[in-house]
This record gives sequence, structure tokens and C-alpha cells, in this order.
Amino acid sequence: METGLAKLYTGDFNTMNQEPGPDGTVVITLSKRGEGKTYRFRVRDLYGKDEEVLEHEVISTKPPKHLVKRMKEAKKHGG
Amino acid sequence: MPTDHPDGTFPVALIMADIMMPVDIQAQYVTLAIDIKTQTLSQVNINIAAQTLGNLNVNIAASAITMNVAVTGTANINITAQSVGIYLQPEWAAKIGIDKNFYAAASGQASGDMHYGSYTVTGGKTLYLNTLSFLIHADSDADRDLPQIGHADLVDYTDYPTVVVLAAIGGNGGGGISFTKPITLAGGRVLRYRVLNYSNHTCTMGVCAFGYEI
Repeated sequence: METGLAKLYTGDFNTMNQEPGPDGTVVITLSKRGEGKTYRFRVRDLYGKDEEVLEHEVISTKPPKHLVKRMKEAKKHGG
Repeated sequence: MPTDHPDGTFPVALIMADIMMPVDIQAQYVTLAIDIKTQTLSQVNINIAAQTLGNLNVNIAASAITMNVAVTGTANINITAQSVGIYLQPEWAAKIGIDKNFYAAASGQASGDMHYGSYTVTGGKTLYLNTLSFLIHADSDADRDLPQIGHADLVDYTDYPTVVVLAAIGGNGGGGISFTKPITLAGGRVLRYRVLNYSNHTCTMGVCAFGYEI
């Protein structure tokens, strides 16, 4: 089972977006605060007997390095 | 038991590095003062099974503590601290990361079309929903001065074709509602959050449902 689908079935997420695909599939995007990753996958027959994940990707959602660096600098300056 | 106090009491002072002291009190009346000043105190379990409990004062001065209290009956809480944080369950759920936010949207939805998202509640848990909202707007510039009528609902879709509507709202351009009591769905039930296009032209529609799962 793909990680994204496993997270869906175990409820291990905070936000879920669903977009319809042109072929009747559904694109699901799951994210959980603090994890730094978003799971985006296309499913056919979601929750059905013939459910199948057709595409699956894990997207890093960590803030850009230059922002992390700037935030650290701001803390040093008493921000 | 020997005693050297005139009132019959028997004071005990323990001064040790480590103490393990099981105490089983079965007296009819007990006054028990406990003062714990250890550097760290990992866990205190107190189980009071008295028929009546007149007064229980607990003073916790730790900088951080999680306190689970199970009360059968009436619990009166009197907070006199200068500042104290009290969270309602939805806020607490968001704080500890068990909140659930569902969103489904699609463009190109013709008049009469429905768009929806689905979620099967995690086994062994309960989903509590406290907010439903939706949006609807015309895809074509030429239609944007027309009413954009939409309808959104939350349904229990588990026993389809029997569909149980749990909540519904409608409006022009969108709308939202927060429930005074959460709508609940047990583990394994199938939630559908839906939005329908009741305007006479093609629209983009979105529907949100917010809640938490415990």
C-alpha cells in the first residue's frame, strides 16, 4: 500500500483536498502539520472494491532554506 | 501501637533517598496530608472510591503538566490563577494535531452538477464535524453578474442508496455554518461533503468541512 493511501486509512493527516480527474479518478492531497511532507496521489475507485493508486508522490513542504536561515538570524537579534 | 503523643496520634517522618511506601487505608475517617517536594515526580495515581468525598484540594505548581481527571457526578472547578488556558475540544484538537480539514473543489461544473469529497472515518475513532462551508462562482465572465446559487451538505453515505443528510446550507456565492453541537460519525462510516450547482450556468464550486477525529 502506498504511504499516502495508508495515511488516509489511518487518519494520519490534518488536511485533505480532493480534486476530480477527467477520467473519474480522484487526486487526493494529504498533509499533516509539522511533518514537512505532503502526499499527493491519484486513485481510481476510491473506497471501492477495485481501488487502485495510479500515481503517488511525496512533496517536501519544508520552508525554503533561505527563510529558515533568516528566521534564525531574526531570533539572534531578539525577534 | 505505642504512641508518645497525648492525643493518640502517631507522626511519621521519613528521610530517605528513595521511598516506596504502599499505603492501604480502610479507616472510616481519615485526614491525610501529603507534601511531596521531590525534584521530579513522574507519576501520581490517586483513586478515590469513597462513597462521599467532602473536599479535595490539589495544588499543582509544575511548569507543565498533563492532568487527566475522570469524574462521575458533578465536578466544580474554581480557577483563581491570574492566567490559565482553557481549550474547548475543537481548539484542543487543533493544538494537539488531531483536527481534520476536508476540502474538495472543481471548475467546469454545469448547472445541476454535484461535486464532492469522501472520507471513511478511521476504525475505532469518531469523527466530529463542527463547520461546513462552500463557495460557488461563475466560470465565465459573462455570467458573473448572475446569481450563483449553490447548496452544500454533509451526508452519511455508508448505506448508499440510503443517504442520511447530516447538515445542509444554501446560498448565493457561498456560505458557511458552525454547528453548536458537532455532527458525529463513527469509525468505518463514509462521509461525503457535497456541493451542488443550482445556478443556470457553469461554475467553479468548493466545499469545506472542518472537525476532529478522536
